[in-house]
Amino acid sequence: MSKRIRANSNILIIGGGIAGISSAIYLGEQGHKVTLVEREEKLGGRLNNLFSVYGMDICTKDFVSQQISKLNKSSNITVLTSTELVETKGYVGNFNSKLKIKNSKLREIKHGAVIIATGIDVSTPKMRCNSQGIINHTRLEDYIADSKIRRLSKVVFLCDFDKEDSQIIALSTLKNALLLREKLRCEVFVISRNIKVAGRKFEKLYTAAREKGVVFIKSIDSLMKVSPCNDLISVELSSTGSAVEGIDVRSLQLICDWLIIGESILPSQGTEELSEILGVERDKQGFFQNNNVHFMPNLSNRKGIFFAGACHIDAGLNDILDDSLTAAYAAHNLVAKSTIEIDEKTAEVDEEKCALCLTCIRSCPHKAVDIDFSREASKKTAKIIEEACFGCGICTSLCPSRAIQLREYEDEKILKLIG
Amino acid sequence: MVAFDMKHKNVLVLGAGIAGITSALDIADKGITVHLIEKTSSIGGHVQRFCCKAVDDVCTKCGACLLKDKIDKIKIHPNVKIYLDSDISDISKSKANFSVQIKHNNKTRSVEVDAIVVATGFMPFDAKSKGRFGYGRIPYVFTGLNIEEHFKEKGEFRLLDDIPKRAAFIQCVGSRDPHLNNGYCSRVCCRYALRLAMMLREAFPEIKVDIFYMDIQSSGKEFNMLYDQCKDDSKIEFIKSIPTRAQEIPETKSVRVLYEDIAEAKLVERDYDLLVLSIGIMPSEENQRIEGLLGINTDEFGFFEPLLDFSTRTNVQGVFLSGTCEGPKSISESIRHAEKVAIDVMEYL
Repeated sequence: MSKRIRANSNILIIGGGIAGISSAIYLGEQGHKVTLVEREEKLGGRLNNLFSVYGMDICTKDFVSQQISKLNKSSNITVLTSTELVETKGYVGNFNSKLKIKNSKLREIKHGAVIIATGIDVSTPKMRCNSQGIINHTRLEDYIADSKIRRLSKVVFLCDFDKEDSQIIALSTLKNALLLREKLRCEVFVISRNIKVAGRKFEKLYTAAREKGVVFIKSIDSLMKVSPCNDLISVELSSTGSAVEGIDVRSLQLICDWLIIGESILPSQGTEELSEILGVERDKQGFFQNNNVHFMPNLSNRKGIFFAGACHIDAGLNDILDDSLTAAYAAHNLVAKSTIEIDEKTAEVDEEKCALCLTCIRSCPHKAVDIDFSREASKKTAKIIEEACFGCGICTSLCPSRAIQLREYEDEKILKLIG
Repeated sequence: MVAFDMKHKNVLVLGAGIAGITSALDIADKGITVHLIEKTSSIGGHVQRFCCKAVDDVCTKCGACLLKDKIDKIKIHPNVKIYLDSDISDISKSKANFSVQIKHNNKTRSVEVDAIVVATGFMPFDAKSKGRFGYGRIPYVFTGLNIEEHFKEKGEFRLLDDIPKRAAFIQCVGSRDPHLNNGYCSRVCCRYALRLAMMLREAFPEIKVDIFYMDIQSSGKEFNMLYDQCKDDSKIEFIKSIPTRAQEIPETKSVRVLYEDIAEAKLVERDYDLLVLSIGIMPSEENQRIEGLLGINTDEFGFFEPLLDFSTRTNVQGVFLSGTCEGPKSISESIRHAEKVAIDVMEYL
């Protein structure tokens, strides 16, 4: 029989973008008390800045407000805006967090699981040439939303400028290139290294754009010069090596009204602080990193803490929505019964042998070892937090005095097996 | 908490590949009885044939190792009934239920289920139908799948008698090809090709690898890092051009590839000891029959069509799509999709 411990079924969600909102709605429907924390004054996150998203029929703003009204209707969900997480203590099933609400005192909440849905930030690559006509995708979406676009005759999208574009930007390029071509009938050029079409119907969008007359230039070793040209921008390409019919591509000059460059994607501001507060890992680029990308797609290195949405995957909106649901589902599964099952194969400290050298505490990737404060000062030992232990065996192998054993894999048993 | 009484519910999962198994496990964990139908004699589907693609003992996160765990779990799951060498021969819908005839060795039995999850997977593109690359004719031409199966079995690359010095990959074989009406990207080929290229580089330090491509589909952060790693390797060359043909040169035991150097706008020939075709994902040949049985829509390429905005629901209530039968997906994407199916099925019941 496996052991169970009592767990709080409340859930804390950090980030009030579309990922956080979708997770909250699902969990509210399942009967969990949800606290949704958003740093800004307004919910909706980055979708507030977008006019339309490929794959969705309705305007993005309408979609966001629909979701927010669903959120507000649920009596299970508490929304705290202008609020940040400052401290989290405890382990899966029984977390204790302090929230700082602007112009108000700290609020403490108890919860059993955390969903991190902090999304992304974007930054526009710097160009040597400065001009009003060089804009990024966010600005472009603004212009489209306000319908204040003056007559345009030629626009150029510049992709993969200093590094490969992310999926989100690549998709936005295809969508907006087609949109500008169809609505404004202007000439649209897309200069790109790799056209990204890995996704349902993306190839179709690319084909449709070409059929409508968007010109794609796949530059290989483009030596590019961007300079202001009266009120316009001149983009000069040499040796683009693209086989565009009727155009001598070896030296090509495009004089355009707009040069649209893709933003690069950065971890959301505050990701580092949050990773320290919660003890979760980040990848080389600073984004949140799943424990095992494939097996548990939403779980962090700590049990009970999940990632949802763009803070850990680079994907389009549909995938972000799916991902938030799977994160919410995983959290629901974990604490729905108000108890948590403890794995049989967890590590165990032999209190007699432990010298409290802290090796295990420092080496545990899952923050599942702590000092046993319940003992007297001179007799303190390390303690495995069973509910947080993954049974990975790292502390077992590193313990210098062999004071830690993994249940079911004790040294004696293994020795017997290998003779 | 919402009270669930799922004990009396039954769900049929069609196809025991990675998607079918994942969906079945997730649904069965909720106490629902799952009937898992597999037409072959073993569960696991295509993933069984894929090898671990670690490079220098570092995991490249291909996901091929995830299957075994799931198979072990599902075989002993009390709520899952597995039907091997079986197929469905007829389905009738009454109110909210489906009555399904399961055929096994000419015998049929009938089960009543509340929902059906279609997880019939894909079919690898038949490289022989791109005759100009010489697959099946030239002994030095292989598919990516051949290489994976070989490595899975042998644990090393012994495809040829001699140590290969030059190898090439041709991307998009069977994908993004309007001539074949395959106007879609298979999503997985860039990823497995680059992983295999790195593995070849590790196995044969002297080897030079060329990769012929249209566009590298560098989606996902993990993959971008792998792509950068390949670009930094001076012995891996990316050539933006799809060759027109491959021809055997028996004297040198090599294969000559003709392609257009787009930058210079001229035709170039190069010889390779090993040519790998990165074949894509095709809809399963079963799809048409299942479309007829269930009445679910397929898209223009033959994949099943989900309702807009609901990536697992179909036009028939109670029928869901899981994994690559809905469109090309990697192993991890299939798992994610299959988990989403489980959530949607639960909501529906």
